[in-house]
Amino acid sequence: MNILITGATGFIGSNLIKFLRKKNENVVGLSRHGSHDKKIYSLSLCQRLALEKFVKKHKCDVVIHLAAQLNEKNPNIIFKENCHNTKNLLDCCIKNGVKRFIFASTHLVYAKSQYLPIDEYHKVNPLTNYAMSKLISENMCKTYSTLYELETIILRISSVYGMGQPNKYIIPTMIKNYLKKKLVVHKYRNGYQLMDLIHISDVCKALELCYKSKKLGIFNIASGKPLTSLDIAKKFLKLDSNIKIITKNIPKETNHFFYNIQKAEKELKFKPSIKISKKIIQECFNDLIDRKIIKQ
Amino acid sequence: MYNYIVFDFDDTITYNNILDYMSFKITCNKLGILHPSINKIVKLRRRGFLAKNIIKKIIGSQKNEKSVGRFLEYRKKFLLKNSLQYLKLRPRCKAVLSNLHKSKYNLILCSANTNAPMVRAFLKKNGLFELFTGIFFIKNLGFVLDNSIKSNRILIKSSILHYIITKYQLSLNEILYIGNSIEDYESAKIMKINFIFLKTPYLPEIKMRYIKSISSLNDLQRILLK
Repeated sequence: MNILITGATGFIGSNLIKFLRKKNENVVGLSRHGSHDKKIYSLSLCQRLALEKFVKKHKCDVVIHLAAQLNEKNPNIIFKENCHNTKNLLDCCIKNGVKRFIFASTHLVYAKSQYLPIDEYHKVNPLTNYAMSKLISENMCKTYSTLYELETIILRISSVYGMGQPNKYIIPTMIKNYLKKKLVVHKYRNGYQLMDLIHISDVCKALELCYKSKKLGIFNIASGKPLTSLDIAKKFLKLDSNIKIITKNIPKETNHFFYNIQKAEKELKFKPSIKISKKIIQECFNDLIDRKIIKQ
Repeated sequence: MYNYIVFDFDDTITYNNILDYMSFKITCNKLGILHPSINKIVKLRRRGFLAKNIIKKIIGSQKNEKSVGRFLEYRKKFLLKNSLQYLKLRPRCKAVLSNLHKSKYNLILCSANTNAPMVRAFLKKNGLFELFTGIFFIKNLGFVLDNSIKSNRILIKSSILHYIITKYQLSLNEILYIGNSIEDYESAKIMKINFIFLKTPYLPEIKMRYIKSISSLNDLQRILLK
């Protein structure tokens, strides 16, 4: 099976390529940044003709669309890169007989939680440009699925952590604070925020199940087990009990994130297996050292 | 029309005023604070004051420096140990629930109370346990939120209601929710289910024209069994 992955040099993309190669899948990647990897090509998704040729040449059976622009400062770029490029890719898939299109969306399309755990039928109401662009792309996928019978699967992926994660997210931030011997946790007016973090290898497994399974539709991909920042900070205490946990009161309310993954469990047979533990934190810690983001 | 009647627990099928008063009295005595009278508690509760607001008011007036946090902690411990002793059943509760049960209504209990064993023991003690088709607590859903915060209370209640609707695969017009607070109403509104406000003498009323409200469980029986 020939698999095309867009956003191949991103956090999820780079891990997914390694994961699928271990499973001996024939994987090619696309990235706007380019890569030293011979199987990852530098090609922008807005170059429609070049993209068509590429999909045709590599006889792709499955496309996993991970590429996205997160730059919230420029809505024009976000909508152009995320929506327009998704449309280009969908068109190319239709023209070249791609069987399955897997779209990585975001849990942020749900915005404010009306009930917990949030299932796939929860009201969507994106609050950011990025989330809105993902929702528009989701709808395009659904339309293409109906009009052209392209098999599409949409994954609403929760916050992902693990090796190769950009350093602005919670685990790398906590690791940096850990080195300063002070872990800062935010307490909002409505308490500690519930978060549903999922390990990158579980996300890779879910993406693999998407092209192996015959099911279609929208699926939440999360751990299904909520944690607060305080819970995570307490796990750091297992590494070093001399660390101080400092609670910072934030005078506003926050949204709680906790997802119902029963649909993915039932239909895709997805089962998240990795929990945040001392070992996983150590792994992320070593990764940040390897990437020279922190010093040992 | 309705097949499932969902009841809130605290102050809907129970009267919590004696328990509330005792929790203030014993906790204040323990901390050496002059405890508020039952009338004062009722007066403040009717104005929508939460326990922490009431104690802040009392501590403020007595210029006592004992922390509110300590009071709340002791009160929580007291409630955990003594709720069963001081909690009272709402008048005619057993008779009305039995009649509804006999009339083939499925009765469900939904509680944001974290002390699930106490709630179960209370229901057993008063012979109500068997009348309920299902009893649901926040712990059924696998998360914990601070129940003393209004927005969290709405989220907790709507989450339990959603769980009930999904579990029994109910259509929204066959479920009726009986609650006693604005948060209960808000959560019913989010879930788009019917709601009846049951007035409680010592708690704030909701005065909105479009909310159906009743004064007692007898009224509920009259509506459902007419």
